[in-house]
Amino acid sequence: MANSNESKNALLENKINALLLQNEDQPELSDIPEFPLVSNVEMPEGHPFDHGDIGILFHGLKVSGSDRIQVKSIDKQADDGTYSIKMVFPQIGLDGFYTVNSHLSPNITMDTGGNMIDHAESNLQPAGADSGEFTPITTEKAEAMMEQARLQKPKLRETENGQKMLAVFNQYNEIYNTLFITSQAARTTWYANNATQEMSIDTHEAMENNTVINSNTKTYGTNKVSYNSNAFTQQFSIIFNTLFLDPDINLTDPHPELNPDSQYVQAAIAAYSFGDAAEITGNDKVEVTELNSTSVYKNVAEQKPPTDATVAQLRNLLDQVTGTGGAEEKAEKNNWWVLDEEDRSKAKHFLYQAVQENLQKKALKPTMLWKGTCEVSITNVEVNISLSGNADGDVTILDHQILMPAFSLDIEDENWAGEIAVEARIRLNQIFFIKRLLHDKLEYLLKNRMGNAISHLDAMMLS
Amino acid sequence: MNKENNYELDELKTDGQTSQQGSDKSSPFDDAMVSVEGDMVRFEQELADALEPQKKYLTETELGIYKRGKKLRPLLLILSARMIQGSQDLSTRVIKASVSLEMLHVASLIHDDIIDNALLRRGLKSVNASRGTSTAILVGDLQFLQAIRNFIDVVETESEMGLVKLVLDTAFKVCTGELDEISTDPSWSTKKLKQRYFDVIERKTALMFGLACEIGVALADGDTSDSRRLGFYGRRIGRAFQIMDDILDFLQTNDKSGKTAGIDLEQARITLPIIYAMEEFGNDHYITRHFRKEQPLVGNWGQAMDEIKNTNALSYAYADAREEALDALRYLRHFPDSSYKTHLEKMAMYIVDRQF
Repeated sequence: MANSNESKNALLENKINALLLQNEDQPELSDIPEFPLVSNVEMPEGHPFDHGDIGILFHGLKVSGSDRIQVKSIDKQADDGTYSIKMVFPQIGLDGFYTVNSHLSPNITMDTGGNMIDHAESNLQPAGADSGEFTPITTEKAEAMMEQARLQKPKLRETENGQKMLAVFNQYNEIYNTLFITSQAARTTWYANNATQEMSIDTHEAMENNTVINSNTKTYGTNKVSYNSNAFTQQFSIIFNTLFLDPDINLTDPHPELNPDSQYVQAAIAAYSFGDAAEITGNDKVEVTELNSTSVYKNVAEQKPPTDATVAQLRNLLDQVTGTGGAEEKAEKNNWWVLDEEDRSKAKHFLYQAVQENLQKKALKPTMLWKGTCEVSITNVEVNISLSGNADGDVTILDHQILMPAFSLDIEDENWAGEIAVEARIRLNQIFFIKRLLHDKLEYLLKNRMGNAISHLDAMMLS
Repeated sequence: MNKENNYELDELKTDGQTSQQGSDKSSPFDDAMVSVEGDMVRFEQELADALEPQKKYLTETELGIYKRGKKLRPLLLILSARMIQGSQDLSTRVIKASVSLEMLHVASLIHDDIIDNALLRRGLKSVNASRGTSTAILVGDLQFLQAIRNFIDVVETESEMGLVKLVLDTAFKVCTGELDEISTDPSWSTKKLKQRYFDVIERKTALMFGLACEIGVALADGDTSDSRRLGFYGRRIGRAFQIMDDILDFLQTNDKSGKTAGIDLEQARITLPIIYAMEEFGNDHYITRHFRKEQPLVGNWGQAMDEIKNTNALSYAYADAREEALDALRYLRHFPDSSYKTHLEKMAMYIVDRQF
């Protein structure tokens, strides 16, 4: 009986192996697209850029051993006449390649998630910083300033206008953060040759002592700009640079479409409306009405807020910059914001920078950091199939399981060097998903190949 | 081949296979829990107190939903407070606030299950499955209201009224996120569907994670800037968490996930992996047509699951989740080194690295 079973198993084994071999091509798993591996790291010496992110992808993953199966047992179920076949792939191999790519990304020293000044040096990588030309404000000073700002919140909340201001700030928190993370132009404008930092220190002291915040005579930064002038520039930068972040806006189109539902458009409108509110206090980039803490709060409490700006106003502002005829007249007629030559030139510069930055980003190709081979070796992958056969010998698969033991992914990584390699190895070792993905893809491939072979069997062989 | 490293596939349990080494390893969540064990004991007590007024309206199964949760939001809130206060005793307000967030979360889960018609929650029968939709709505509402009632007790100063507003705003946005998810038109372009997906998960999940972190800092008398930074951290890990949750719908068994595997496919719920799969399949594919509600897929879920898994959809979604987790770390770098900061860093990566 044992011999009869063994010969039946061998017969079936030969037949299935012959069916598996019919497909001559060595099977491959589809490439695994790039995953981010480590962000915000210094690149090794000699790399084309200093700072960036790295990611890993796998390709050319060829599977071996999927054409050789061993049949372990064939059992016929007495009750329903179905068959249960246990088989094993003795050795499944996976050989392929990996590439670790690097992507240029500037080391942003600005604390965009916190107080908008540079991070303390100790918390940053040294290379590739995009500011650092000025003495940074101390952490203690910055926190004192933020604490004072926090104390203003309850006061602001006491008035309808104040509540609205806080709500708007919270609503677009993420967008404005994205702006300063992604736009070099916005960051450079914000630093304003140190004017913004000097102004924030002055504001803090003026609030503390109830003295004039926006002096008519004092200047800030190495370019000696006035308080109102820089405040206006910042607002202007936020309006335009936020708008230019919108991936759906074609910046080279003189009359681009604005989508009212776009969060970028909405955040730009909010910044526009804020400027209108400041104007009500008698302040714009030229006109200065000196205010202290008391008068600021009086204005917040008593002034009738301007109506929110509209997409049409923003559209008009953009038209004035891109030079579509008649935009200024329309703005004047509606009592909207009319840009002077200086404003237009500034906005055109923002537009130019945004286009340049977009082009640079588009032109950026990943730079290969390391590449090598990878392999997986798995022994004894079990295949359990239950099937039924009809009188014509046709086979129907009722259940089909692939049981794959745990395996390791071996990566040729001896050429990985430097501190970045240490971090990359740790991160790669922790990613379970890649291994699971390989597991599932292999399982899918083996299941399909086996299913295909089994479905071509003659059920009479089993009886 | 001269290799320096084997990247071990340990703990992989599929199709009944047993794990290799490492099954005794504790996760970064567990480690973080242990680091604030005393706070979590206080959390459990405060939670029991907060549930007391509604106890006679809840079944043991519903109370079990509270017991079985990962308590991720309370943990984040407490760790955020600890980032500011170090090992000093945390005030009861911090603990109470963490209870409120867990209750808000459970409320949203109950409503989620009604919408999805899900049968399982945290390995237990969902409220709607055991008591019907009407009762489930009321039980969910009860959790929302009790969460807010409990949070009001946290407020001591006028300035902290802002926190109540923040909690209510977040709860409001969670609901609008749910509504927008329901009203998503499956015939939209995949680009528009992706925008909607990210917009919805921001409100449904990310904001609550961010809120936990912000409130933790604020109630520990931290600075506004620290509160902001951790808010950014929290929202990013919240996004990563939700994307991973949607990926795991394809990869986890019922036992591990505590909810019905493949439910997104059966419900034709359009998640990020699905959107990527639709892009790869094209408009005429039967799976795309199922999700676009053009031709429902009847039965053969296993085949459809396998086909989706064999696309690059899960990989692309995973890359997005990983990007969020890595980005979250950016917002921790300002903080001085501490064990709590390390826990937050590890938790961010564990969300995308964990085994399943």
